[in-house]
Amino acid sequence: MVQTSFQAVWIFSLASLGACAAEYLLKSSTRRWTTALLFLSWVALAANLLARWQIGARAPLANQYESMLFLLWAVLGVFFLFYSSKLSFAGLLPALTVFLVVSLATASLLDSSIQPLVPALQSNWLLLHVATVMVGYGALSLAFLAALVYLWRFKKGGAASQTDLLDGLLYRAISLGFWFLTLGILTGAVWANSAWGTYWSWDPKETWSLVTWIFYAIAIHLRRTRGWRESRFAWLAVSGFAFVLFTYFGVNYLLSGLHSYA
Amino acid sequence: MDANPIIGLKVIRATDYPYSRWGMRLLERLGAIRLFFITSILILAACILGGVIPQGQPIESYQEMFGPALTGWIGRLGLNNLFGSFWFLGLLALAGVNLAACSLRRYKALFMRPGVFLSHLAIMLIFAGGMLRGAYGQRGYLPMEKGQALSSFDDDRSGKIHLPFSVQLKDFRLLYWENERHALHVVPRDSTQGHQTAELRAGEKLRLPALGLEIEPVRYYPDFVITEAGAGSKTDAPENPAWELKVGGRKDGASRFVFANFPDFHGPDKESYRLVYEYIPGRIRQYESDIEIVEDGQTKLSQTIYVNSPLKYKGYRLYQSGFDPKNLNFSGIQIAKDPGVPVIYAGFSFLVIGLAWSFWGPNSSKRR
Repeated sequence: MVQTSFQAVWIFSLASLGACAAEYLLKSSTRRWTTALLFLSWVALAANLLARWQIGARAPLANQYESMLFLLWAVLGVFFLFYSSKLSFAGLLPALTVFLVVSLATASLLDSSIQPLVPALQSNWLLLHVATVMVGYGALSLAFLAALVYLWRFKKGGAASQTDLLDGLLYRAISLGFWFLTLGILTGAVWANSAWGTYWSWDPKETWSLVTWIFYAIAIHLRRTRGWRESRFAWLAVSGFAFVLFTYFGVNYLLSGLHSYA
Repeated sequence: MDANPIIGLKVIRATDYPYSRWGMRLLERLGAIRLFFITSILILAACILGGVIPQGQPIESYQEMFGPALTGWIGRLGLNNLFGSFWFLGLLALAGVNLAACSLRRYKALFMRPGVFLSHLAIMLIFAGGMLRGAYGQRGYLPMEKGQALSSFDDDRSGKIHLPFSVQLKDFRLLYWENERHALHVVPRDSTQGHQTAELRAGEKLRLPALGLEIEPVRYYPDFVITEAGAGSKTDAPENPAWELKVGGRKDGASRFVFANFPDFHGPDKESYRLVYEYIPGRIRQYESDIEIVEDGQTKLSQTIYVNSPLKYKGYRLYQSGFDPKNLNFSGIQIAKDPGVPVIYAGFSFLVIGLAWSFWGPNSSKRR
């Protein structure tokens, strides 16, 4: 089941990439097909995660591979949460599809074996902490994609209806991502206090999560109090995503700490 | 009063307040959004520095990493202990003052926007909890052997702390998902024959008829060492795993040793096969300690603690923290008392609720 569902994720993702390419090559709309195939990828990802959950008898969030699959599931989930047929005009579908395929290829390089949990991860907080952080990262990833599309297509202006729609998506995705990131950091702190007796240790992962959180807090304040919208806010979303990437990947590979198993 | 054109927020000016004009000017300055941006960017930059420069290392390691010139600056600016440095704590204090002043200055407007008010209050509570922890928190380590009782510990800041009870380690256990395994690969020198693998267990003879061999595992040495008394094990930890084997068919009938760390060592004989021993470590599931709390000569509490499951007694928490693979009678136990935790947790709850209210509560769409 695990292998079959993962192959299905690949097939649907590549097919959605093909559907995007067909739109540009054949000059005919394939957006419905792309959206449907992305939805099937999302369902297959859910099936894969559930199968891993059943086999491992634990939440499939114990290592980089599993968290990355969950992240992709979250990105697609947030996209469907905010889905509107009007959004497909803006080039978001191709951006999302490329992101999905590149991320799947990256995940394929990681160790996918289902291992039992190390003692530190044997807690119900694992599900709550990692899932909330990953949903946060997923929403911020979607904001990054929307920002890229905005900067690519509308940097020099465009129809107000289109720019407003994309700018609104950008803000909604960042709000959702920021809230989940906050919840993820706080559940991590509560877990740390119940496991090690301290809710904050300035461990590299904690520090970089805080860096990411402060950056987005500044971005939201800039929008709300200084009117940084559209292009300027899009640039903030792109810059913020660099912190997300470093916190998620960079810290694991470049800095050691309490999250070394992550 | 004037109105912020972007968010429609009424900002209370000095003239609107019953307090002195000078006091209100100070409040305006301290609560300015500009100060929020400045302190946040400085804290962000400090966190990046602290995230990149390893913290709390000995000075020699900084010299190795950054060279003598940069190490000098790291020491002068306290970047080796950045998060405990006065200037970083000062920045956090300034951010707290900024939030408090901002909330005071715009208190009417913030009550109209409870989400923002709650989020700001939450951050202030988290800062307050952190200060309580700094002032009254205790934290230390109890390095314990089975049967040992301790009633004090060393705290980094306060020195020796005497507990109102004693902690006794009754037992310590390592639990495994899978136990360690010992594989013996018998590799014929004639490469046309395939190699055979069998698992070594003390007392269980291995018969390999294809090679005409009978191997009897005699004894396992987790940390092999040769002393005057002969072969022995220095510790219980598998530092240098070795097996003593009796191999049927050897002319001298003597034992021979195989070593996991030295697979190329296979004795002086020129046999038609090589014996290669592979040590496969066990996978630890959990480590746990049986703890007894004794007060006034009476046992008040007996509990097994393990990672993620601490013991709580009189405001103290005891956490299973570590063990020594070389000494399985040892258990490392962390002890902590933090009166700031309820305040911190209140801050956490307010922050989650406040942000949700601010983003998705009534009238939130106006500020998008």
